[in-house]
This record gives sequence, C-alpha cells and structure tokens, in this order.
Amino acid sequence: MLDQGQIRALLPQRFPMLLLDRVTHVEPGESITACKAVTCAEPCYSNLSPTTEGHDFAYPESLLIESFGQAAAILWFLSGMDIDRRELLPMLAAVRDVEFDSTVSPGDTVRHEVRLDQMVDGAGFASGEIWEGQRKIATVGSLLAVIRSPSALLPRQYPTRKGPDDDQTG
Amino acid sequence: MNGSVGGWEDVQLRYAAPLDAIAHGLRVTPVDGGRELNLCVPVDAAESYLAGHYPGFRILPGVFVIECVRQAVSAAFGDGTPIRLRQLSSVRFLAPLLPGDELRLEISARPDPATAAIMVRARCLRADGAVATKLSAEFSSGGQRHA
Repeated sequence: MLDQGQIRALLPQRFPMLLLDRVTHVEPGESITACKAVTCAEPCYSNLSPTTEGHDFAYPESLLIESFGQAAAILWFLSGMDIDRRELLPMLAAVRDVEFDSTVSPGDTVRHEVRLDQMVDGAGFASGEIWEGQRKIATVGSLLAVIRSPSALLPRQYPTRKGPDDDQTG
Repeated sequence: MNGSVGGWEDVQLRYAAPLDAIAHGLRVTPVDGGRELNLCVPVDAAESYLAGHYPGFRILPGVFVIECVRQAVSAAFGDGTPIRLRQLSSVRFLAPLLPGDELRLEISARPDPATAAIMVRARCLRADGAVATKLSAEFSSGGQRHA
C-alpha cells in the first residue's frame, strides 16, 4: 500500500490536481489498484449555479481519465522505468477506446484497476477499468504516457518540434 | 451559466467542471447533418487547477481539452445542461499549452438519429497554428444510453 506521502514522492501533481488518495495494491511491471474519493470540496464543485440538480454533480469524466492516468504513472514509476525522472514530468500523450458506463458523485470512492501493457523509451502504455464498488464506471482501452523535461516544453522549443503527428504531451 | 465574461469565479456552471470553457463565447454554425462549433479558451495561469499541474511549471492538463469539447457540445446541443462523454475513441495530445497560450477549438458535431448520441471530431489549435490536440468521441445526455 502507498499512502499520500508515498504518492507525493512519486507524482509531481499537487492540490487540486493530485487526483489519487491511496494505492491499495501494486505488482510492479504488472498492475496497480488505486483509490480516489470524490468530495464536494473539490474545485470542480466550487462555483455551481444554485439550480444545479443532484445528477449534475456527476464527477467530470475528464478528471476521471486524469486520475486513472496518475495511477498508471505510479505503476510505471514502480516498474523499473530506466530513466532518471528527477526534473521530469509524466504527461498524457494519447488515450484510446474509453467507454463510460456510469457516473460517480460526491461520496463515492473511485477504484482504478490498471494494467501495464508496455514500456518503451520513456513511454508507457496502460489499460484497465474504473470502478465504484461493484459498479463499473469506465473501461480504458489504452493510455499512453510520456515523460518530458519542462525545458523541452517551453515556447522557444516550439519551432524545433518534430511535427504535428508526433505524440508530444498533454 | 449566466453568460458573463470574466474569470472562473465570475461564472456559474450548471454542472461540475474543472474550468469554464465557454465564458469567452461559442460560435455555432449549422451545417449539413450537424453543427460546427468554434471557441477560444485562454490558458489562464490563475485557473485553480493549474496551481497543482505542476507547481513551478504550469501547463494545461490535456484532459482539460476533452472538458472544453464537452462544454461546447453541452452548450450547443443541451441548452447548457450537461452532455456526458460516453465514448472516447481517440485523443492525442501533440503540443503543450502553457499560460498565455490560447486554445482554438474546431469541433464537428453530428447527432446520430438512431441513438441520439452526438458524434464529435475536434481539433485544438494553439495561437501559433500548431495542432495541440485531436479528438474523436461520442457524447450523449445523461442517462440515455442505458435507458
């Protein structure tokens, strides 16, 4: 199990964009199970209209994908990624074939079941499911993360990028 | 939302979201079989979520582009009520978006008469013309899919 301190030692994201609370199980090179509790204290609930109804408090799918990606990043980091990742940032490069079956709301705890499919040259491929209890929220067909140096992302680097079809960052 | 222009704190959404993508306007153009949606979203360093992504190096989370598309589709087809992401066939993040940049979203949205789903293809350009994101997805109103 990894607690919040151990998660922060691995991930560079911080409040309010650190979207993982606990890792409950990890098999390096294979899989990870990680949890995130959804609460109404998160910024995505900070400025809702008074007329917002209960079902519109569904947690944004975009943040669920990010949370899943953070679980995948921890698995990747614990699986012997052979790169010195100090000063480097993990970033989403591509996501494919995500299907949402249901939603989660404040009070729910999301569980990510992530499998590591491949690691190559600073890139990691993962897949899996997002659950709430026995209820499947989503299936993630493929998620590609890359590791990038901040200096390589600065504007002065724009003219030297390889081209619009090279997966870069997100 | 009340349609006011300004920072995140000035605008109220009718559904949970990490940013307000359409505070700066949305252009909806009817086309054969659907609608073309265009919007610009400035990347604001003061946006609350950017403080944690990342401390000392703020960069727009790629998933926020998915969120922007969702909000544009909601505004154009749901009269502001949330339209949910049902299937994300593909999203590719090709170039970073930093504070001071602007997302220019070009969205082609076509309702599928058989399923009521809204089929979306989108690309996000940076102000310098670089393609930052390409996306292909399916959206629909809450609860319809398994009704």
